[in-house]
Amino acid sequence: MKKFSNLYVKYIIKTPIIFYLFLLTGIIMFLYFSLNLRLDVVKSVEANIKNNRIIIDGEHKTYSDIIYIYSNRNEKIYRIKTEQIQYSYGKTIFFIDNISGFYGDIQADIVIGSQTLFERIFVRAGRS
Amino acid sequence: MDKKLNYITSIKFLSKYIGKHKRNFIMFYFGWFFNMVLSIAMPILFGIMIDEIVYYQNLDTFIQISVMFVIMSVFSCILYFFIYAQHHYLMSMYTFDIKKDIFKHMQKCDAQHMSDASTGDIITTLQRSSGECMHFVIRNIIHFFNNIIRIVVIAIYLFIISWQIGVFILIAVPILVFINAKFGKKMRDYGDKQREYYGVYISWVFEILSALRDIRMLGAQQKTNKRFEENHQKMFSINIKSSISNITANNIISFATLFVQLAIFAFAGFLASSGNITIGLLTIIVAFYGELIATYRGISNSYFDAQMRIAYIQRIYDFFQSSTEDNWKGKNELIITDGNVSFENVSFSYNKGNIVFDNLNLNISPNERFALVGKSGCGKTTLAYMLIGLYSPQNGEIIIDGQKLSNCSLKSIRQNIGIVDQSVLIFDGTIKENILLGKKNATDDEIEFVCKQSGLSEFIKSLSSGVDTVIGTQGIGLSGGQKQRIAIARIYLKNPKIIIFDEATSALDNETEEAIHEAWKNVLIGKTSIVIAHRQSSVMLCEKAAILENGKICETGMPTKMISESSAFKTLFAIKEAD
Repeated sequence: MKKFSNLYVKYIIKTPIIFYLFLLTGIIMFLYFSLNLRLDVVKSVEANIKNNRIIIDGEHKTYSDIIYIYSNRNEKIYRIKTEQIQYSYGKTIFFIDNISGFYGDIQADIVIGSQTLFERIFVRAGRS
Repeated sequence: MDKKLNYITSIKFLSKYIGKHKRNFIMFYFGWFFNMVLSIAMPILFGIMIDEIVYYQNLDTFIQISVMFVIMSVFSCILYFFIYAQHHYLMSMYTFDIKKDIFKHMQKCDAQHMSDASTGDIITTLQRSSGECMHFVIRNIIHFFNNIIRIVVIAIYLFIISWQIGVFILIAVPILVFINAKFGKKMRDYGDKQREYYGVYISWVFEILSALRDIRMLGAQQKTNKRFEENHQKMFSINIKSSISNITANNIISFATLFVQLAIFAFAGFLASSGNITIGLLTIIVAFYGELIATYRGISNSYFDAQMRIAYIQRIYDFFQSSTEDNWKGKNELIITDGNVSFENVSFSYNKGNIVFDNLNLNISPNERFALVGKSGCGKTTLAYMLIGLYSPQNGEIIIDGQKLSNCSLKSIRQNIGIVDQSVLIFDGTIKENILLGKKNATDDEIEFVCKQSGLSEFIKSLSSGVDTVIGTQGIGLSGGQKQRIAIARIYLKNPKIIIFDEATSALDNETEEAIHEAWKNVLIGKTSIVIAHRQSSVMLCEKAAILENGKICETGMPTKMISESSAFKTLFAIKEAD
């Protein structure tokens, strides 16, 4: 018991090296995870669905072939894989497979880029 | 005028102790800082996880963040272990350093200061105040600083998430904290009152416990019982008031907290339902609100506690400022050849208006047994204490063998002058260890000799372990006579040229007193001795006596003559005139 307490005081309390190594490991781990994990940056826009096409005003450069559509964000968001993206007359057109239940004006989230988890936490406070 | 400490000067005062454990404090701070960063990052991480899975069914990202979340949570737990290991170490070592300094100061503190200070105050300074210093450093410096950073960061994040929520929370939370602080103070005041009265009650109980025998003798049980009941009634009344106040204050605080919480959550819920913020962000807001409230509360508590802790630090600071024996100017070695002691025009008072000696003159010849008598409180003991340098005369000089006492070092004074008083200091340890206080390096033969001379031999022989028998609270108890003999044995070993006996035998029965007087005779050969006594038997051992009255020596003479010729002497010892 005395030996244990001596070791405890020596290595946990008095020797800072173990503490600093542990702290450093934690910081490195945190930075490694948060800098390597990339998250999609999503932009919410108004869209229109017509003939298997989602049409959005403005030319939006997307970084993913996935588009999220919904009429109410808090109910259900549909994850749609696009076939093709076209920019024409100041509009962005997503060509998709047949989708039932949606017609006319909807909301869409498009991926306009990516950012690290670190940036999302410390710069954007969790906002996309 | 004494310096009044504030927040900054308190930090400055404590910094010398922080410096001793700089490395540990830095480790502790880094640990807390990183933990604070994690505590801010984790709710955000959790919010992101929710958004990724709820809205975008992004399972890969969700799992990756979850793994990170779990790993960092485990890391945080282990980090807590390290931080608290440091905390406990610092708490022990830091307070130990302060206690050590207080104790050292106490040892050399001016006797007048110590006689003015109450024991309770000194114990509180040593035990409680030193602990509060550490709490001040940890809670009022380190945590306060971290909490400020935390509030600023969380406030910025709330504004980034939603400026409306940011404004709402930043207005609501201080109002809540104000209510908290206002009622919290009321609760604290009642708590203080409770503690204060409890302290008084405990002191009274201690007093009663130590005087149980006297209470029985005086037949004061009924009065004591009544007082006990009164004390409890008073405590009960304070407790009731405190409880009602606490319940009311707690309910008001809880209601206000709940109201603000509901308002914020409803507003955040509205923003989430209208699509302005995500569910993940709502989770972050809820978590940050909790953090913000706790941090604000921590800061407001820290503010109130700081005032109380600064008062404790002030106590230590003031104690350290009190004059010590280091201020004693004498540096010369006191060399006693004959043992002539003279007080020349000595004046002394404890405080203005309470004059103890006024131009006192007294001469004690070498090798003389001199009795100093007088009514209680006339200054006999003060005179003895002046001789060993515990008090110094405000006017006049004490001269020993032609050397001014004020020019001599305290060490040499105390080496050459021994004192035996009524209460003999007995440490927990063996008889031998207790006797060795007189001379650390005494041989076994010397110990045996002094035991014989002081009349301890028979007693020691009756013990199975002899001089190695443990005495004190951990061992066997000693009678008053046995303690006196140990004191004489110590004086024998110390062998000072001048010995003062201050009421040494006043608590002993006649038979024991006689035996102790026999032991004195051996030790006093070739020495100057001053016997302060209330008992005629002790005075009659002396060659000369002086009666002290109103700060002056009113009469001197041979006790054998004074007994028949001096009316003051007769009055003092209640000697009946022969018919």
